[in-house]
Amino acid sequence: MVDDALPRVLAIDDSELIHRLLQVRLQGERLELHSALSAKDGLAKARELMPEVILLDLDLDEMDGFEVLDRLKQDRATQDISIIFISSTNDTAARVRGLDHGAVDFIAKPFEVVELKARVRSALRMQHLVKMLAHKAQIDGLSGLWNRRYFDQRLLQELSEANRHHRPLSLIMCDLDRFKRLNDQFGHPFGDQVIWRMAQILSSGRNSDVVCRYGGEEFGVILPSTTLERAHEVAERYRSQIEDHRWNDQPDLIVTGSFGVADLQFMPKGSTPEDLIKAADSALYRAKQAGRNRVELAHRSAEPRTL
Amino acid sequence: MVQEPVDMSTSPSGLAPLWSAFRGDHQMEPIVEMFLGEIPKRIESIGAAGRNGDLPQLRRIVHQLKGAGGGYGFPQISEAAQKLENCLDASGEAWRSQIQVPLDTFLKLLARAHAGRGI
Repeated sequence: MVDDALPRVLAIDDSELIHRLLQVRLQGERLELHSALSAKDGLAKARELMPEVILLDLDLDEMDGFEVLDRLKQDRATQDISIIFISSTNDTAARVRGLDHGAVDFIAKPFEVVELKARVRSALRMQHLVKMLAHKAQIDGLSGLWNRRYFDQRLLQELSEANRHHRPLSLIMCDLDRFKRLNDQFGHPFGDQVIWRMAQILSSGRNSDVVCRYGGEEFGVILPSTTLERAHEVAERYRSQIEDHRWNDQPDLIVTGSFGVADLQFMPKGSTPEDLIKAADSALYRAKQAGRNRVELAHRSAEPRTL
Repeated sequence: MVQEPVDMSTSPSGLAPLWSAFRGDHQMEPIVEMFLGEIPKRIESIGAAGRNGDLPQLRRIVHQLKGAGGGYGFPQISEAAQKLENCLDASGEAWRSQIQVPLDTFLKLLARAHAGRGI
C-alpha cells in the first residue's frame, strides 16, 4: 500500500560537517532525514530503515562509495532504493560509473541548496511512482483486492514466518455459490457488483489478514497467527454477512458463499503453500457437496506439525 | 625514516575576517558558528598530520573541508582545499616540496574565517 508516512532519506557521509548541513538545509522538506557516518553503518541503516532515497558520499573512508553502491544494489532488500551520490570530484568518469552502477542522480559538493532539494524531491517522486506501479501490478482491478500473484508470494512468506516462529497460520478459501447463474440471470454488471461486495465483506476483518481474489469468483484469505478455531469463526461471520446482504437491484435475491478453512498447525511437517491451498480447497469442495452456504474445516493430518 | 617536518605556522593576529556568505541567515548561523568554533581544532589536526607526515589523515581533513566549505558559505575554503588536495595527490614525495604555498593559503583562510566568528 502507498502509505502517508514521511518519506525517509538516509545520508551516508563520513563528514559530520555535511550531516549538520543537510539537517539544516533539508529542514522544512516533507521528509525524515537519517544519518550514517560510515559505510558499514550506512549499509546496516539502509536495511533497517528501508529509506526511499539514499544520499551517498563516494569518498568514504573505510570503503569505496562504489562498493557501497554495489552492495546496496545487490541486496534484494535495498536494491530498489533510489541512490543519489554526492562527491566533490569533478571526474566525469566517476559520475558515469556511479550512474551505470545504478544510482539515479549525482550532486556535486559543495552543493547548492535549491539544487539539492530539487534533486531529492525528484528522486522521491520517482520512488513514489515506482512503488505505486509495483503496488498496482499486485492489485485486482475489479475488487481492489490483492491478486493471485501477490497471494502466492505472500502465502509463501507467511508460511516460512509461521514455521520460523512456530506460529499458527490459517487459510480460508471461499467461492460464491452459483455465480455463473447469477451472471446469466442478472447480467455481468450485477455479477461485478457481487464480486465487489464480497471483497468489501472479506476486507472488513483484521488489518493483518491478507485478502486476495484468487480466481473468477474465488477468494483467499491468509490469516497469520490465527488458529483453525478462530479462522472458522471468521469464515462463519463472512458467510452470514454475504447471505444477509440485501441487493438494491434484486431485493429478493440471496447470494451465498461456500468456505473451506485449513490451518498449517494440523498439516504434516514440511507442508508447502500448495498443500495448504489444497487442504482449504478440499474443505471448500466438501462445503459445496454438502449443499453450499457452509463452512467446512480441513481434515487434520495424522502427523501434524507441532508448534 | 625521519620525516622532514612541514612548517605549519600561521599568524592569525591582525587578519581581516572572512565572512560566511550566510552571515545574517538565521537558519544557517548556528551551524556556521559551530563550524567556525571547530576551526582551531582542525588547524591543530592539520598541523599534527603535517608534522607526522600522515598524508592520509591530512588528505582526509582537507577533503572534508573542500566538500563542506562552500556549504557553510566559504567557497574560498573549498577552492583552496582543492588546490591543496591536488598537491597531496601528486605522486611520490613531490607533495612535500609543493605543499607549502597552498597550505599557507589554506590555513590563512581558515584563520581569517575563525577571526570573523561571533562578529
